[in-house]
Amino acid sequence: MAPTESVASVENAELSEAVSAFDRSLAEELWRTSDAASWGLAKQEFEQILQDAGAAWNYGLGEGETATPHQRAVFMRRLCLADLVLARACASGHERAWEHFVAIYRQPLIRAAIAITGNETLGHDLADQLYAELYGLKERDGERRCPLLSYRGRGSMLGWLRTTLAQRHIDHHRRTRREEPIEEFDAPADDPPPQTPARQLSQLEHAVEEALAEEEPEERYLLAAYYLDGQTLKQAAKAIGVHEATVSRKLQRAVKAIRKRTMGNLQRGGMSRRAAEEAMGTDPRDLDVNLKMLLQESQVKTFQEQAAP
Amino acid sequence: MTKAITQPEIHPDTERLSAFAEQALSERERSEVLSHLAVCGRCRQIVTLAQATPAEIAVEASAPEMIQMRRAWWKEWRLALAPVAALAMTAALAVYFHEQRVRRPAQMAQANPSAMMQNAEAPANPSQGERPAPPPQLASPNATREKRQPKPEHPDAGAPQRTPEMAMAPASPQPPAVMDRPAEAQLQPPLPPTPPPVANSGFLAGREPATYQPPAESEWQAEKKAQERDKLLANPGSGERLAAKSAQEPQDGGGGAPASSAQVQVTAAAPEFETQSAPMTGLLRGSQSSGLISVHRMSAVQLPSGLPVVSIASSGGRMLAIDKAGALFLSEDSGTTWKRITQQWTGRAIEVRRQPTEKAGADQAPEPKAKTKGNAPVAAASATLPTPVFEIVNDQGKVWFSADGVSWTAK
Repeated sequence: MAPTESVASVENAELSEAVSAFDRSLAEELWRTSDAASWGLAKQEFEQILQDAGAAWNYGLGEGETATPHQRAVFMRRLCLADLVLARACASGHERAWEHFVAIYRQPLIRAAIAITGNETLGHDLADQLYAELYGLKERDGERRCPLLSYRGRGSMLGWLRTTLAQRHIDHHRRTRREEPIEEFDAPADDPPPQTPARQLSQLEHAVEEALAEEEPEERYLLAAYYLDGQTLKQAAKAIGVHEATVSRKLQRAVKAIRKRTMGNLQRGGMSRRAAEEAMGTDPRDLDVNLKMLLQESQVKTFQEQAAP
Repeated sequence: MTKAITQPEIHPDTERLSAFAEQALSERERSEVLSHLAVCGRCRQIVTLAQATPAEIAVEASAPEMIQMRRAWWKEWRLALAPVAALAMTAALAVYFHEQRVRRPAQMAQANPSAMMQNAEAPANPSQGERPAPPPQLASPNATREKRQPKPEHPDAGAPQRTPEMAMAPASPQPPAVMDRPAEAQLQPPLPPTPPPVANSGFLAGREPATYQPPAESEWQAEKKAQERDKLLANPGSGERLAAKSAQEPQDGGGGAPASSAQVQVTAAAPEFETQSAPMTGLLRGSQSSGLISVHRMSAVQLPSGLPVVSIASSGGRMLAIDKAGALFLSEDSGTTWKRITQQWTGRAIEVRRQPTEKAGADQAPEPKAKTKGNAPVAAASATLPTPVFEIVNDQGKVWFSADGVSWTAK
């Protein structure tokens, strides 16, 4: 080993030791404040949980980035540690933790399921199904898997439960929709052939797609939620945490910008201004169908299922 | 174009969507999720459904209270017991204080009867000490009158016979001494300065002590006495009771009835009755044998002058009355019609009475008793009586007498 390499390795070892000492002291502090001991979690177990959470989220940073001790501390302090230790205690079969979990989350879980399904019976069924899964009745590869192990404390436990219920409900709805019997399927009448020439329509779709791609993610989400999903301004605003008036202004600006960019894209594609304006007057239903096909086609397999071992 | 748009099939996991809905992601993470949401209808639906509805938020806000109620419902009951216990205590105290209020005069009378008697009698008749004590056989039948004869040697001798109602009758016009009150009675407001009217006219009779009406009460008592005597007169068989009752009249009249003496101080009519009652006592003793009515309600007499009567005396159907101006009126038909008598005396007449010399005839008790026992008519009994002689007293203390009430001679 070259002398320079040995010096660098010694420095890295000292640095990692200092980092480890910092993390241990932070973990010990968080272990005390999160009341993890009451659920039977030792310090070492708690440290391991924190390290797993940090690694899964990369401390809130992008891929390939390395978190500084400060960034790690900020990330760990922002975790919902009380919910996290409770989830881990429940997953490990701590009886008192389960009693606490049931006392705290059983009724909210049922209420959320009823609200999501819009039906009391379906809601109870959905909640019971998830509850059975949480209790670890489902086995995977011969091993009981508790979904609570996937909870890492970025959001609240109740929010995680609610999102899980919504996910199960949407997936179930999509599956059953696909399984709808064909004899009961009332097929809509065929759309009339578009008045706009196919080439011009293709140019328009390409121009719109490029214009959409240039929009910010938030505006794109708002456009899709408002125009495609038919959500109200209030629903869209609540999802991104702004006022509905802000959503309205953002939508107006986004539409105006997309129209302008689409005109520019069409003209850059060889259309005259007049032809571009005529193309912009295309029946929006033709473009709408294409946009839906463009944006809504997606696979059901989730990132979570992919990531699960 | 971002990776999320190009690869919409890779969905964010549940926790990421949950953290996005709760605004718990960093800006970079949020942008990634938004990029995916812009092209993924499924995840948009999940995010939309994962948001709590307002109804849920309201329920969640009250959820901790519900949990606490489920856990500690008995504690809530325990808390509710506090006001119930306080209410019960208040009711018990109210009943207790009421009982104390009713019993207090009796207790005070037992504790210090002499002081009670002095307080009760002093304003009614300051010269009570000069009066001779009544015969014991006459004082014993009525416990109320018994209290008017304090016995310093045995202050509690008459106490066991007293009832609370009896003790209330001669209540002192002065508030009772604090030292005689029970400890809890100090919490009560002090007694009103006016005494309770008479026995059985308090709480149990449905009357409030504060609404006491002295003039009406004195009228009622005088009327009651008159009716009593009318009844006795109409029933000659009860001559013995009349004799006993008349024999007690010196106590009643001389000192003023214990109840009325304390009540009439605030009225105008009551003192007039007192001035009449004192001289009438001797006449009553004399008229007992003759069966004559000697007492009339002065307030019921309407003189031609229209002025109130200050003194009245009667014998048989003949009545003499002096009004407030000092004029003398004579009635031959028991007060139905009145005739003014010309003044034959000096000064202003203030009192009319029957001549005390009549007592000599009145003291011959056995003879009229025998007559009344024989159920003889009242007219026959009165016919055997000597001619009554009236006296009037002027404001200078001089006396005039008359046999018929018309012609008067200085004495």
